[in-house]
Amino acid sequence: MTFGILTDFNNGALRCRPWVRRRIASLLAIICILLTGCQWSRHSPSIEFTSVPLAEAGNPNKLTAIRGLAIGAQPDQRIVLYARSQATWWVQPFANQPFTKIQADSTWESQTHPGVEYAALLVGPEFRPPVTTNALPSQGVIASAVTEGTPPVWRRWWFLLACVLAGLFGVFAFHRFRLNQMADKLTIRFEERLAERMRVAQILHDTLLQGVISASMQLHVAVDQLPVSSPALDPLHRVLESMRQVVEEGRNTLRGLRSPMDSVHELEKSLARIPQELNIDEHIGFRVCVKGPALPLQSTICADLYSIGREALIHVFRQSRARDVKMELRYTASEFRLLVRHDGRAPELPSGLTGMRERAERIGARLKVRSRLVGGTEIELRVPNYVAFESPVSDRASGWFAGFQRRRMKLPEPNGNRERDI
Amino acid sequence: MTDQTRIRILSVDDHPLLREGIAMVINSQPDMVLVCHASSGAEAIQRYREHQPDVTLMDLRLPDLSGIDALIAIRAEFPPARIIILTTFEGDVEIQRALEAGARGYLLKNMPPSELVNAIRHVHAGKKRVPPELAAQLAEHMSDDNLTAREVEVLKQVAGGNRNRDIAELLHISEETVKVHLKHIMDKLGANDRTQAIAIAVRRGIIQL
Repeated sequence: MTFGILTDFNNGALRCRPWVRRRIASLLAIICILLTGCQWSRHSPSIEFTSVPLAEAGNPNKLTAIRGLAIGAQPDQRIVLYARSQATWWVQPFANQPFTKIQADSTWESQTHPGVEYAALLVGPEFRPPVTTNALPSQGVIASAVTEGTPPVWRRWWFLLACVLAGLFGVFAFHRFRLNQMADKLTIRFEERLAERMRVAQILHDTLLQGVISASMQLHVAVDQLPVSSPALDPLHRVLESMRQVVEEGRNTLRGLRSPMDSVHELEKSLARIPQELNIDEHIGFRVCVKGPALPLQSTICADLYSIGREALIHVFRQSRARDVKMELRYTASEFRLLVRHDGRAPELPSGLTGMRERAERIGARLKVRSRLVGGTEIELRVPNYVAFESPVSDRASGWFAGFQRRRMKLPEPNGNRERDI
Repeated sequence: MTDQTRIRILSVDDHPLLREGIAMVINSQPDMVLVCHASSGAEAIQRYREHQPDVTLMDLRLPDLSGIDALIAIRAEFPPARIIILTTFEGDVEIQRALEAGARGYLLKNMPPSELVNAIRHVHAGKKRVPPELAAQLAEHMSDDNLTAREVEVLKQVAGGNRNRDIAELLHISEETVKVHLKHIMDKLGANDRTQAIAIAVRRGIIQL
């Protein structure tokens, strides 16, 4: 019939354009292939497993259900099941009951002893299955299917994945717990120190400052009573001016003790002012540069960072004979780093840095001094992010994630050469 | 000048040395006399009742109650009382509170004695006296949102080292409410964290540690 239609086409009985003819021919060819396939599938029975027991070592005392489908089987055909234990296939469920009947809906169900692999053979009525065999029979077998036993729960991929995820979560949770614990310890320590500062401030206020103010008042009165021509007037005025300065400095010190975080955002500027405060030789080169996005620092450690930086600079300016000093404040997602690099000599006595080291340890930071044959000496202070920055630990992305975010948001890299003027 | 025509002054300060200094400054003035002194808020109220001075110099921090509370108590009993706050630190909120409570002047102890006696004369004449630098500081924060009483209460608890959960229990509010209060406090003070909020609050005289 097919050829007839094609012949008609060729003879021009149906007059169509060439591309239409080609389309129809293709369609007919596809229909033919599908029809042939259906015929073939009708004549090729197959077996499937729908439920397979666990893969286990052979056990003659244990029976488990095994189920499947036999598609296209003839009514007189049956299933023979085998389970493999080590190298031997054993007929299932029993040597004297080797056959499993196929139901009208093409399903089959039986029982089997455990094995690592299972096989189902579709056989004719004349087939005589061996009780044990090292190789599955093929003579007289119409169709066969072999499958591995279902792996136990602990060997399934999703269980293993869940274990890995749980492990990762556990590590993360422990890490968070430790960070929180450390943050809590630091907070307590900071609060203790704050209380101590308040106590010192109170004592200074109640004793020294009030006393000097009172003395100054009384001296003022005494000076006012002196005759204008008195030679003591000038020196007394100088004393009064000194006392005024002492009171002012005392007030500033007290203000710093009472609210130690006033200089939170002044860290860089305060550090940059140190050479002037120390009257350092103007010929010594000194610059402070800030690298990375300036994340807000914890106000509680600003005073410590300033003190460590100041001590490092005092040490460098007074002992190292450096001619060029560079201070770098670097903000990264994982830490805050304060680096003092100079071309002078290394500290002769490492104990000279003990105060800085102790202060660093108190705030949970690390201090290192590196001396290089070329490139001078470096004093490095590294403060972990959960100590240095004010955002809660939980809110801060880890280093790689922050890096990823930075790339996504096209932010500059923290180790870029973005310097800020002080 | 007789005792009746001189300005009669009460000095309230818990530091004996400072009281001594103030006494010397006042007594050196021909138109002033120190009639008595007190070293606590309660004593100040008592002495005022006894002597009813023309001008009172009141320290802000006293051992029993604050200078502002003592001022309020005195003015409740004697509304025309002329009281000058004399303290070591300036905080715009404290100045504002003192002036709102009826203080006629606000002076710093480190000011030259001449400033102090001039201020006493001004106040005695019925005028008010706040030095220009303090007035400028007051003006700087004039437009700032004031903390509510509840927010000040929360901030005091934070300054006391309490955590959000503890504060919630102490003030009988939820932890979420504490967080909302803290957010408002930090917004109003322009602080980045709790510690900085405390620092600013202490400096501005919102809370005393």
